[in-house]
Amino acid sequence: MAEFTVTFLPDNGSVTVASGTLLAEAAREAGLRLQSPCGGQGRCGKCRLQAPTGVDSPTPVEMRILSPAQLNDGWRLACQTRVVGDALVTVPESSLVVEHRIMVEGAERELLVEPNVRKLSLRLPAPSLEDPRADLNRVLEALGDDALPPARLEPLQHLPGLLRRSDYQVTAVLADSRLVAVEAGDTTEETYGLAVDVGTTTVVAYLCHLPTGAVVAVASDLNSQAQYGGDVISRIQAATSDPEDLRGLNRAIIAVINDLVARASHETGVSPQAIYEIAIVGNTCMSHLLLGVSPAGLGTVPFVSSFRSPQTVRAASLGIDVNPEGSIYVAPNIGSFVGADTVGVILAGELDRSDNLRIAVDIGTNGEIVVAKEGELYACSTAAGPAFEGAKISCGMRASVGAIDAVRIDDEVDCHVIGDVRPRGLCGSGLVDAIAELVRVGAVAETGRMLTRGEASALPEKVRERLVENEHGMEFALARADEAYADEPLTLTARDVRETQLAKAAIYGGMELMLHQVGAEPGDVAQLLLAGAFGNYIRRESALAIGLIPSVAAERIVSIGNAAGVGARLMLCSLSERRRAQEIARSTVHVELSRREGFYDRFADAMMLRSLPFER
Amino acid sequence: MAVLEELQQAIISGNRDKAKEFTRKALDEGLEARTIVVQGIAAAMEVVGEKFRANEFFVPELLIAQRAMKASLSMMSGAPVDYIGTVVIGTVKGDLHDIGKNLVAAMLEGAGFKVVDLKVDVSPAQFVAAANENSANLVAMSALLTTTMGSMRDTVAALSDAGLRDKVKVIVGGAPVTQSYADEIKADGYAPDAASAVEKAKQLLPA
Repeated sequence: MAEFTVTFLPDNGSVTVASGTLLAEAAREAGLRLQSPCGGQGRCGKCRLQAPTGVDSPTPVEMRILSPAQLNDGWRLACQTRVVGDALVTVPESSLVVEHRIMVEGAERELLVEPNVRKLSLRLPAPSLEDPRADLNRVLEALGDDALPPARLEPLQHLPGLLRRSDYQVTAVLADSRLVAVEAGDTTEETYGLAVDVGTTTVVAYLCHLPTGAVVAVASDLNSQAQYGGDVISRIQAATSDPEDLRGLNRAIIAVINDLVARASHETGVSPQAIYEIAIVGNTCMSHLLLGVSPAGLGTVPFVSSFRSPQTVRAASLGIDVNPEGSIYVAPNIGSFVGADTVGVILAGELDRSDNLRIAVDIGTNGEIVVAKEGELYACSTAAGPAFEGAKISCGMRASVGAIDAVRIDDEVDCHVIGDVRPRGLCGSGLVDAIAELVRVGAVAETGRMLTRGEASALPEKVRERLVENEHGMEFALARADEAYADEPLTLTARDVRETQLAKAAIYGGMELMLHQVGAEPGDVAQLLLAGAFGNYIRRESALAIGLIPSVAAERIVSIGNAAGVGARLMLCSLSERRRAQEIARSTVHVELSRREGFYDRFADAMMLRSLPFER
Repeated sequence: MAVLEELQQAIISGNRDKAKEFTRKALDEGLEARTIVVQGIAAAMEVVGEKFRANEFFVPELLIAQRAMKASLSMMSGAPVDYIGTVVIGTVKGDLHDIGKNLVAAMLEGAGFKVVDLKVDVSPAQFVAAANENSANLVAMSALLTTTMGSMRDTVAALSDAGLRDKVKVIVGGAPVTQSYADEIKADGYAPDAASAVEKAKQLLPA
C-alpha cells in the first residue's frame, strides 16, 4: 500500500500516511486539533484547509460548502478529502479548536471552558435549484446529527428573514444540543454568561465572556427580600402564610438580579441579549423563592424541601432580562438548610477531592460548614445571622468602597477603608478586627461587655476617649465625626458586640460539633478555608483571637473570598463542573445541628471572645 | 455571710470553678442547702436579671452565670430544698428551637423554681401530663415559628379540658409571640426575655 508524506503548515509537522487517508485523520496524527462540530459530515465547513496538491478531487458534499473560487484556490474540507500523493497543507487558525483554559481566581485550578450554550458560526450555501432545502433543514444539517430543532416558535419565525438579510452567514445558538436561536453574521465572540450567588443578605453577579470564561464585570447588591425578614426562617414563614408574599419574595429577587444585569451591561457595553446562560447558586430557601416554589416544607419539623436536584429553565419564564432563550441553571442543593451555594464552596475548594481533613466555613448569614475527610463530605448550617455581612450591626455595611475592612489599635485607632476614602461603615472583616483589637487592648471584656470610660483607665488616652456612653449604653467611636464620611462618628456599640458574639458562637459551636462528627481535633485539620460574603477577607489572626474558629494553626488557614461565587462561575463555564456539582450534592451528608446533644452548651461557651480550648 | 457573697460574685461573673469552690466552702461551714440556694444562688440570679434589664448583661453573661449556677447546684443535689414553685417548660410542637427556652429554664431554676424541662416539639397532651404528674403551678411555653404558635392555644384548651386551668397558670414567650397574642389565647402572662420571665412567673404564683 503506497504511503505519502503530508506536511502541515504553518507548524511544519509531517506525517506519513497510507494512500486514501482522510486529511482530517492525517491532521490528528500530526497532533493538530481541527474543529469538527458536525462530526466529519461535511456540513459545517469548519475544518477547511488549503491542499492544492496530493489530494483527490473535490466531492459534491464539499461543493455545497465551498465556492468555485475557493475550490480553485485549493480550499478543501479535511473531513472529505483523501490523500493520494505527497501533500503540502496549509491550516488556517480559524479551523483549529481553541481550548480556553482559565485560572478561576479562588479555585486554584485550570478549567476547560465548555459551557452549556454553544455558538457555531455557519457559512451556509445559499439555496439553489440543486439545493432547495428548507431553511431550517439547511441550518440543522450544518450542525450535525445530534442537533435538535427549536422547541419554540420564535427562532423559526425569525429564521427566514435572518438568513436572507445576512447572506446565509449566521450563528447558530445551541443549548443542550437544541437550536434555540439564530443570529446574523458571526457572533461567536459575543457570548456572555452570568454567574450569580444569591445570598440571604448579599447578591453578587459575575458577567463572564463565555468563550474565554473571563469575568468582565462584577456587580453586587443587598437582597431586597430583607423587607420580609433578615433571615431564612422569616422569609419561609412569610411565603408560607401568604401566597402574595411568596410572589413578592420571588419578584424581589428577580428584580435584584435584573438590576445587577443592567449594571453589568451598562458598565461593559455588553447587551443583555448576548447573555445566553446563567448559573445560580443560593441556599435551599433562596433556590425555592427564586423559582417561585413554596418553601413551606422548610418551615416546620421535619423540614423538607420541594426539590433538591438542579433545575434548568428558560430565562423568559423566570422574567430575567437576558436573552429570552437564555438557559438558567439553578445548582443542586444538599439538604434543607445547606444549599447550592455550599456546593459552590465545595467545588471551588475542591473539598470533594481531599485525601486529608479539610474544612470550609462560610462566614455569612447561614454560616455553613463543610468537613471533608478522606473523600467523605459533611455539611451543616449554623444560622449565624447577618452580622458578618454588615446587617444588624449599627454601622454595618457590605464590603465595598467606604467600608472599614481592617482595624489596628495601639496608641490610636488605625482603620483601613476600602477605596481609601473616608469611612462610611464597617464590613465583616472590619468587624472581626475591631472586636479582636478592642478585646486585646481591654476596652471590651472577654464576656463581651464594653467597659465604661471609668473602668478603662489603663487604655491610652486617645483610645479611651473614644469610649462614649449614651442612653442606649456604651459605644466605641472607630471614626470620630471629623474622621468619618458623614460628619457623624462611626461607632461600634455594645449591642453590636453582642450580635457578633451570637453569630460567632454559632459558627464556632458548629465547627466543633462537625469535628466531633468525624472524630477529629483542630490539630488534625490540614486546611481551613474561610469563605465569606463578597469582598470579605477575614483576617485569620483576628478570627482565632475572638474564637470565631477553633485553634487551627494559622498557616493552615486560608481566606478564599466568595467561594460560592467562584463555584457559580465554575458551573457556568463547564458542564463537567456541573456534573461534579450534582455528585457533590448527592453525596454530601447533611448534619442537622439542632438535633445534636451538646450544641447548646458549646454555643454558650463559644460566646466568649477568646480562643477556646477544644472540647472532645 | 462572706462566703455567700463570694458565691454570689462567682455566679454573677460566671466563674464555674469558683462557684463550686464557694459552694463547697459554704457546705463545709455548715450552711444548709436551702440557705445557699436562696441567699447565694437566687440572690445572684436576681442581680444578673437586673443587669440584663439594664442592658449591661446580655445573653453571654446570662449563659455563663447560669452554668456557674448549675455547677453550684450540682454540689447540693439530693439535699432538701424549698422550691418556691414548680414549672413545666418546653418548646411547642413542630418547633426545635430551644436556646431561649433553656435560658428561661435556667433563670427560673436560679430563682428557686423546680423546673421540669420537656425540651422541644412538645404536644399539648405532653404539657398536660407533665403538669399533672408534677403538680405544677406553671406551664411555660416557647415558640420561634409563627407556624407553630397555634399549639400554644391548643395547650391552653387542653389544660381546661383536663380540669387543670384554675390550678395551672400559663406563660408564653418567643420571638413571634406578643402580649396581644398571649391575651388572645387567654394565657396568664407573656415575657419578652428570660429575666422578665422570672418576674412574671413569681407574680403568677399562688399568694
